[in-house]
Amino acid sequence: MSEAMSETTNHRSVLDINDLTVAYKTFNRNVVALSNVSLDVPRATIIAAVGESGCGKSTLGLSIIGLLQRPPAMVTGGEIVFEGRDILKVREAELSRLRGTGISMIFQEPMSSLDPVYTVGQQLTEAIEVRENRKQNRDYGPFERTTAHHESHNLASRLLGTNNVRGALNTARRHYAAGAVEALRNVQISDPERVLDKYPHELSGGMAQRVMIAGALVERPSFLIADEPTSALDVTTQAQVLSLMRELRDVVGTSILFITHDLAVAAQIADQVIVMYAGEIVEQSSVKEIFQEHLHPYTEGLLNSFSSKYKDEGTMEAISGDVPNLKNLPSGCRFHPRCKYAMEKCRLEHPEIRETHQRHKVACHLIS
Amino acid sequence: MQEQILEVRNLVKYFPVRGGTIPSILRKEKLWVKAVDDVSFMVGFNETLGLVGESGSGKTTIGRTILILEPPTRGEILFKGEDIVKFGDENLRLKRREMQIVFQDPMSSLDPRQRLRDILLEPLKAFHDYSKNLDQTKLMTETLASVGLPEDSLLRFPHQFSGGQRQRIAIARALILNPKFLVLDEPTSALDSSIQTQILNLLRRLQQDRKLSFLFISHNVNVVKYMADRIAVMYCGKIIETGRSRDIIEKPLHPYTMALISSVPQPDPEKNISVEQLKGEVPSAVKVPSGCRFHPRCPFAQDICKQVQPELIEIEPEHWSACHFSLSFKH
Repeated sequence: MSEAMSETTNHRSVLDINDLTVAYKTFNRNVVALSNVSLDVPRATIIAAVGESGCGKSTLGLSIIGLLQRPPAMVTGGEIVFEGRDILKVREAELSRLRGTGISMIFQEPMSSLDPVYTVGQQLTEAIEVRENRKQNRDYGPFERTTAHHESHNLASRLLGTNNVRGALNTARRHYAAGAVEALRNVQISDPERVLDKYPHELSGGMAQRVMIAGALVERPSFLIADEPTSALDVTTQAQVLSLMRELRDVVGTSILFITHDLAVAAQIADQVIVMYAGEIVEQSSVKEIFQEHLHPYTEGLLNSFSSKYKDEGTMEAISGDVPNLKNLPSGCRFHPRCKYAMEKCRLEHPEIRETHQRHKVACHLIS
Repeated sequence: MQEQILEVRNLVKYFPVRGGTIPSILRKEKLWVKAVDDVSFMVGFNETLGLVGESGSGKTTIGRTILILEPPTRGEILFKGEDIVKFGDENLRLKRREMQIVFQDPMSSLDPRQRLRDILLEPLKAFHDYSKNLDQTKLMTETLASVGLPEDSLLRFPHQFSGGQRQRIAIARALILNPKFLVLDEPTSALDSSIQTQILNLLRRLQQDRKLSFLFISHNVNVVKYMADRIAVMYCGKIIETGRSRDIIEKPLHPYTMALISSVPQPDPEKNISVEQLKGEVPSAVKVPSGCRFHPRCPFAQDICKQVQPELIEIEPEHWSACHFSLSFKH
């Protein structure tokens, strides 16, 4: 690719992943969790990564934000180009500045990703501080900084015998508090001032997830990874969170990689869908085509298991067999032992992902 | 009353709250979590009743209470016409042979140190007549075959199976005593979607073959729709609507059911889920709202809803709803 061309692609896309391969070290061999994954994420687009457990969707998210635990994980090939730079090659200090302001991530379990010993307000303030200080490269982490503030408050309030000095002494803090209130209001929390002083354990699951999203919103990242953000929530709360994500795309222009196992959720939120199986992308297209003109038998099987019938309307067709073990992958096409259309060729030859028509890619021998 | 295998009348289950705020302790107030508050329902022979509701609505407590895994605070549980709440330990033990439960997470409900053979033997040991009169290995392999597990798995441990297979083991364990009634508490929520369909199909086949009755508990409306003949919708410890599956899903009469059904995402990008979302959160079961429990979140709430608790009444044939305005929602 010529330099001029790559520049134009950079303008269109926020993130460009090429042939990413990630393996986990186990005691006798390497288990390949992602093999040759390529993905191009345009601006203000929600891409849903759909697949079952062990298909590599979470590994994909973690490797983009550089949070893979290394070892055991290692990137054995490929590149992740974010705003013109290969993330896999930048130093940790730089990557740490990119996190939050450039790329942000929210996780399935909000309770385990919020810090239990700080109030919602303190955690949101930290996020705002990170955003406003993004040009200064401080070597100490946000944790120490917050603690330092905290101690000085205690000392001052003890000397003056009041709790209100906090705001009086630190005007910057008050400014941040206003920002935090606004952030909470943005995620439709009805009484943000009260929530600000709460600890995570005092919040319900849906509320905690909205606080997490508020934290991600505050930093206005250009790319957000949402790893099963609604799977732990009830459907009525899920509907709220989904509309929030759409707003983030439309208002801030954030691109979102929405990782989910639920095709129905993907149908509701995504612009594009990638279907993953055993560490590979097997099909990729616009959301409409995935649901109406899907090509891969696995996508078809998944969709069948989501078409909800009534009890008296007969049985749904299930994909037979089990999700493959990455340690022991089938030969040829990784889906062939479960595929009802499998041919001799599928057992022998691994299908490459190809573009069939306009922006619709599929990896299957049936489609040629 | 022999038409129903299970009839629950005015079931109440409160859990005491320890501690509480200092003022409430000083006032010597006793706080209760009203997990299940005056619930009545029936399950017919060879029928599936689906229990849907959000987390904290009390569906799991109902499942556990009707097997007396938790003693109910009040109420009657008639199993084949007999009130098992009044049963002594020994009678209850014998009765439990006919009623079994399958839990959500098979990994935590199966003993990791037992081989599959021992897991399946345990219920047989509990009932001596079985171990004397039957060829146990034959019974075990037959049960395994009926849930789709290979015969040679008897000597393996739970961790050697995949998630879907483990749930099959849990089902086999529940079935080995040949019960008539099963409580299925979110049996597929921890499974991958392709495996979920396999297990649901298995349960439906077993129900047909063995003439089982199910109480199917799930938060997933689509799954309940596929499994249940009738559905009961729970909100904050109460059943707020019940009726035939089709009626509940297509013609809901309670505003909460309407919101719940319209929030369920459909696998079709052109069918958008409703934008009229519910505001607020499920109320705490300690401080239950006055009147109708749904009124703080209900878009149609009037003054009467704050004061008077609506009763479950039959609005249409076999379709019951607990809302003051259900008649006006009638289609």
